[in-house]
Amino acid sequence: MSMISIRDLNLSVTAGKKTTHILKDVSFDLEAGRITGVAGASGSGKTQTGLAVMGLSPTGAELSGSIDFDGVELVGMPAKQHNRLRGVQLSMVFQDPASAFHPMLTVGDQITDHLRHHQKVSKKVALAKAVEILGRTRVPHPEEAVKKYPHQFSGGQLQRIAFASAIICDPKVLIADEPTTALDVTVQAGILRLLRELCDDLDLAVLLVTHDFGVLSSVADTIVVMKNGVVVETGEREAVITAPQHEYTRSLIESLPGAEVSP
Amino acid sequence: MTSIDQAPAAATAHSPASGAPLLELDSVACEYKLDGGGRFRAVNGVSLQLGRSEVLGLVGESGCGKSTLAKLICGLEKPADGSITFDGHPVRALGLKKRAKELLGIQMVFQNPYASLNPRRRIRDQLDDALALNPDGTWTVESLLEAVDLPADSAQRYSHSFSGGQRQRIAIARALAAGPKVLVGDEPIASLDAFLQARIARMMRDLAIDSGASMIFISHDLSVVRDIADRVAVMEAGRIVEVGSTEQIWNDPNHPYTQKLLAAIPKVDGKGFIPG
Repeated sequence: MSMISIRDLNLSVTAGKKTTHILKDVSFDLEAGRITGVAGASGSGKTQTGLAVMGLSPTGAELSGSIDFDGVELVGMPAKQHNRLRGVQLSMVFQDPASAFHPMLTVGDQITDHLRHHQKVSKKVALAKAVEILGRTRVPHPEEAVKKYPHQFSGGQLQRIAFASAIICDPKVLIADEPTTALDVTVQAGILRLLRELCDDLDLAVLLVTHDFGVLSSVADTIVVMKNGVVVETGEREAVITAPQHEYTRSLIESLPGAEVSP
Repeated sequence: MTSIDQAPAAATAHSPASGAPLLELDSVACEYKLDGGGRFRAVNGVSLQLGRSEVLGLVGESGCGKSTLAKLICGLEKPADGSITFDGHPVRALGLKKRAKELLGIQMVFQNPYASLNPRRRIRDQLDDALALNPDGTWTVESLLEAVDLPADSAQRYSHSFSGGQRQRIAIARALAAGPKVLVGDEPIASLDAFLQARIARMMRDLAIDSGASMIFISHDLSVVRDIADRVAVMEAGRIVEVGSTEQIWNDPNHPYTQKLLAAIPKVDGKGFIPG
C-alpha cells in the first residue's frame, strides 16, 4: 500500500481569459521508506506536483484527479482540514534555505512553532525537542543553535535546520523541492546523506524534486521523469538512468556532461 | 551552434607581442572592509595568465573569491595589491568616468540574466548600444540573434517575454556585440536548469573562440567547466591552489582541495552512491 497515490492529477490555472494546463494526468506513487525522485526541465510541473500534495497550488488553480494519502483524499480537501495535516503528517523543505526562514525570529522559535500548535506542548518541552532534532540533523552545537538567528548560519547548516523543522512533528511524507540546488557540491553530499538517513530511519515517503540527475543517481529509489506537465517515464533508479526507455529521458541524460548512457 | 562567418577579426589588431599573454594578473589582492573595523582579503595574491583564443575555467566553492576576481578583471573592484594587464594596458578600476577605450575589449556576462538586462528597453536597443562600442565589428542585431539561436523577431520584444535561458543568450549576444577580446562569464549558467547549462556553456565557448576572443568561465560546477575549458584554475579561500590543463585537473588532480571538489560530484551512473 502506497503512502501517497497520485492518480490522473490535472492542474490548470486560469488568468484572465487564458487557461494553462500545468499538469496533465500525472500518476505515480510514494512509498514509505523510499525516495521518489521527480526530474524535469524548468516548467515541467515537477514543483507543482509537490505543491499539489501539500495543498499549496496557486490561487485560481483548478485541481482534478486524486491524491490518496493513506486512505484520505487530498484533492478538494477544505483548507482547514488540510491545515491539520500540513507540517504534521505532510512536510516540505524548500530550495533556498536563506529565504525559507524568518530573519528576525530565532531558529528555536521557528522550528517549534508548528510543533507547539499541533501537539499543544509547552515552550520548554518544544525547545528540548528542537535541540534533540537539531542534533539528529547534525547541526553543530544544538543548544546554542536554537537561540541563534538564521543569518548566523551557512546555507548548508540552514538546510539542515529546515530538515529539522520538517521532521519535528514526525511526518509520514516529506517533499523536498530542489533541496541542494542552492548549495556547493561538497555541502550537497552531506545533505543528500542526511536525506537518505532520515528516509530510512523514520520510514518517510520522500518526494525529491530536482533537475539534477547526479542527485537522483545518488539517492533516489524510483525516478519519475516529467515533461510539460506529463509523466514520460517511471522506473527504478538504475534502469531509468542506464537504459532510459523514453527518448526525452535519454536526451536529458545525454545533455549532461559526463553521463553514461548505454547506447 | 556552428559557423559564424562574420567573426570580427579584431583580435590581432594591435597586439604588442604575439607571445605575451592577453591578460595577466600579477599577485593581485582585494580587500573588503568589515563592520567593526576589520578587513577581509577576498582575493589574496592571485597570479594568472590568459592566452589568446583560450578558455580558462575558474572553479571554487561559494565565498572563495571567484566573483571578486571577475570584478577585478573588469575594473569593477579596485585591487589592494598587485597589477592586472590587459593587452599591454594596465586595468584601472572603473570610476564615474567612461571606461577607457583600450579596456572595452573586456566584456562580462553576469550570473543573473533577470537583473542584467534593462526591462524597459527593447532587445534591439540594448544590442545596438553594445554594437556602437565596436564600430569596426561586422555583427548586426540580426546576426547576433541568429548566432545565439533566437528568432529574428526577438529584437522587437522586451526582456520580460523571454525565459531565463533565452535572456542569458541575449546577455551573451550583447557582450559579443562589443567585440570583446576577453569574455568574462561570472557563473553565467548557475541560474539555468541542468539541461540548459551544458548547452549555453558550449554556445559561449564556440562563440567566443569563433570570434577570436578568449574566455574566463567562472563556475562552481566542475563538470560543466570540464566540458568547455582548455585550462582550469581552482580557487580556495582567495588563493589559486592549482592551475592545469582540464585533462590533468580532471584525471590527475594534485592539490587535496581539488581532489575533494572532484570527489563530491555525484556520478550519473544509477548506482545509488552518495559521494564524499
